[in-house]
Amino acid sequence: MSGVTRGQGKEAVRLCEHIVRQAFGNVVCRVASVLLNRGRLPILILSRLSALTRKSTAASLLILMQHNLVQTTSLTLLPDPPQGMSSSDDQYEFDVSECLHRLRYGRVLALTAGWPTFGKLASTAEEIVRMVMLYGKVKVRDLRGSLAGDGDAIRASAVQEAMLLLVRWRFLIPTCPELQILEAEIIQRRYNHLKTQTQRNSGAKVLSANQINEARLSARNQVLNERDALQALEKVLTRREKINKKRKKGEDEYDYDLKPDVSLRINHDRYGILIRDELIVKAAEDRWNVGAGIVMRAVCSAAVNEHSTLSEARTGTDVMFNEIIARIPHEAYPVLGPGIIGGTSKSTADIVRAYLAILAGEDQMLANGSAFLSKTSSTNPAYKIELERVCVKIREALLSELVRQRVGEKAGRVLAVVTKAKIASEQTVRDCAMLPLKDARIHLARLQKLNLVETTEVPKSGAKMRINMPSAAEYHLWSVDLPRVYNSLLSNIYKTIGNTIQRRAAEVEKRTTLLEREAKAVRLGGRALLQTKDQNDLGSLEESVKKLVTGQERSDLVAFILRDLPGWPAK
Amino acid sequence: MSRGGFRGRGGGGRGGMPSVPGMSHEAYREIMAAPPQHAGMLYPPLSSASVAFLPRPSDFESGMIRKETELEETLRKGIMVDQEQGTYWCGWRLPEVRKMVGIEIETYSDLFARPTAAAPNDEELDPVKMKMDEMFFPPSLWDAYFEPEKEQKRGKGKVPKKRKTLDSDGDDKPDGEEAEKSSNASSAEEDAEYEDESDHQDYDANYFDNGEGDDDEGGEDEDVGNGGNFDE
Repeated sequence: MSGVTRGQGKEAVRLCEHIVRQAFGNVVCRVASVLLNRGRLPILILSRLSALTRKSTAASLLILMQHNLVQTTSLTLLPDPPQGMSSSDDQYEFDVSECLHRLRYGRVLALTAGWPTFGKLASTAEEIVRMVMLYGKVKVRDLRGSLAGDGDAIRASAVQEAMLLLVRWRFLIPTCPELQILEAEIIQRRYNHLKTQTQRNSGAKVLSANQINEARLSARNQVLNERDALQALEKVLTRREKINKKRKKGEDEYDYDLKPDVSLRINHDRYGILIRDELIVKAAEDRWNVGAGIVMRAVCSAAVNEHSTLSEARTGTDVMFNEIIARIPHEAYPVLGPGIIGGTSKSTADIVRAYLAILAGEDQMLANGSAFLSKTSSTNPAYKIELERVCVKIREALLSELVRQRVGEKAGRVLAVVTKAKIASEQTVRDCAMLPLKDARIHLARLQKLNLVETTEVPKSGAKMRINMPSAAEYHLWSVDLPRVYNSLLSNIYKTIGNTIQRRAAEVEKRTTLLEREAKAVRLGGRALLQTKDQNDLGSLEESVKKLVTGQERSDLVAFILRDLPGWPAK
Repeated sequence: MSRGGFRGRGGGGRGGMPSVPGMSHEAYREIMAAPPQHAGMLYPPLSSASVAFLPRPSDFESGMIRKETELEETLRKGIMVDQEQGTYWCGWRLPEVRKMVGIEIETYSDLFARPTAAAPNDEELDPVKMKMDEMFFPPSLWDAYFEPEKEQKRGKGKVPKKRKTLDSDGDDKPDGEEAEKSSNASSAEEDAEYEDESDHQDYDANYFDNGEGDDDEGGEDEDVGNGGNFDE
């Protein structure tokens, strides 16, 4: 998957090393760390640099490729590979964004178990997803074989149904060998091909800048479209018409089935959409009230369909009013009524219509936040969610909350002024943040220390020399550079998560003898066989692990907000 | 850095004052002269910003944490193979090469150490168990692990062909180049295998570095090593 390449400095590299070491051990981590720090390498140099035998390096690469963490430039994986390729220029590259997605595995499992459409199949679906996580990618028949191979017909049909639901809702997507080739490599080859084609067509060896640009863009678009097509639903799902004499109204006319030989992997994009929807619901709840949150949740779940992606600016298809009403649970009806003031009608439909009007900004209260929804037609109302606008607001809210917690409330006001004013002098800050000048200066200095604001000097008069002017002869202006701020926050978060993982490994290592005793006791019958002191120590270990994982999951959510939501500030 | 600031001050001689942009020196002096907060207290109260606290996880978060820890336990220990024995199979953790330093004394805990150690030379990745499909990997990588002899044989087989094309001298040029490349690769591979072992054991030869290769002007080849060459 082409992840966004943001914040990929040394902190991201260090975090990836920790993740790989925690999951796969030291040997694989050595190979991964060489690839991370040195870039694309062929296997020979890789084995020299990591000081391992060629066999161990090959084994590590096999494991990493199986888990989609490493991709190759070898074209032998194409369905019709070109002839005459030498195997010594196969190179391997590490995929940082895929590795960072591994941090979210716990959340993915919890979301799968909590997805309301699964109903009773939730635990089966969770087991399937867990198995795909353990093995990287799994074929459909392997999934069926391992999870339902006992000959139990009920369990087999439950597994089949759960798999169908997971695939149809795009939680698991098909993969194929071609997707193991580096995207950048294929784009480069396609671009060269298009370039030679243009050269042949135009008859000139030297191409204009427009033609080169066009070749590059069309190469990228073609390759991305092809890769998307390879992961389409039709690759794994087959359907045939149901042969039913009496067809009930509203039932599916098709019988769905999965092709047994196709490999499945986890679709992080789809889980990202679920997390994003939760964030939007919480934002609506903070902005208005609980009733608005319930309505927003219904709209979000109605808006998710096969084609939604995480990075779209607004939802693709319109959401009709009936679908929204259908998704509000009956238990929520009593909460909706008190949330709206002035509505005297008792019918739920009218109340929901009132909520939707407010969410769509029809009350013109656009001061504190923009509308979450946009209405399309007035006769048969349909709504679209303005995802990018909401996500920009969520990110800004995160930044201001951080400043308020770490530096203070007044500093938060100062930052808000400078952000809104784009560039401001300290007098403006004093006036708009309602602080005396002394305090304003102190807070600005503190924010600058945290790299959140930066200064620009503009000379007061049109003097000839621009630098090294005396301080009194310049205007000193403050501004916020949002991309830089978000990138530095992201690096800090990666550092935090890396530290938590390292601390966890250290805690476990400190107690190896204790854990061995526990393993022996478990084998002999149970944890109660241990001495009281051992049991207490194990309890304290579990407590600290729980705290560390809580910190890690919350930091990962912050990283999600900063990195994966749409609406990255352009500069 | 006191350009232009001198004119505004009467009575100089106050050196070392940092110039803050946009702030006059009187204001700076005023801030610096004020007594610090909580002066004289032995334990001044901590500002709220410096105490970090972790709120209790919500229900959803507790579920999430539990699943995450279970998943990581499974990744660390492996999948249970035998209920009674308590053996686990962990295919994705490659065994590390432990160098035997000194005499290894077996401790009492080793008897009860993880029984995965009982299958020491099971380093072979089992593609069926690990759910690996050969199609997803480039053939060179697959063969490099599962059939290393095939790699070497492929390389060695090309060498006599190279001699043949040198004689015939003409049409088989691209083949000859490819053969040369792959034979170079295979000989480099063999060099790599040998070099790995010799790297760690030349302690004596490398210990006394008489600085022979240190200050050369760079005209000689740099990988002379540190004095190990005159012994070989």
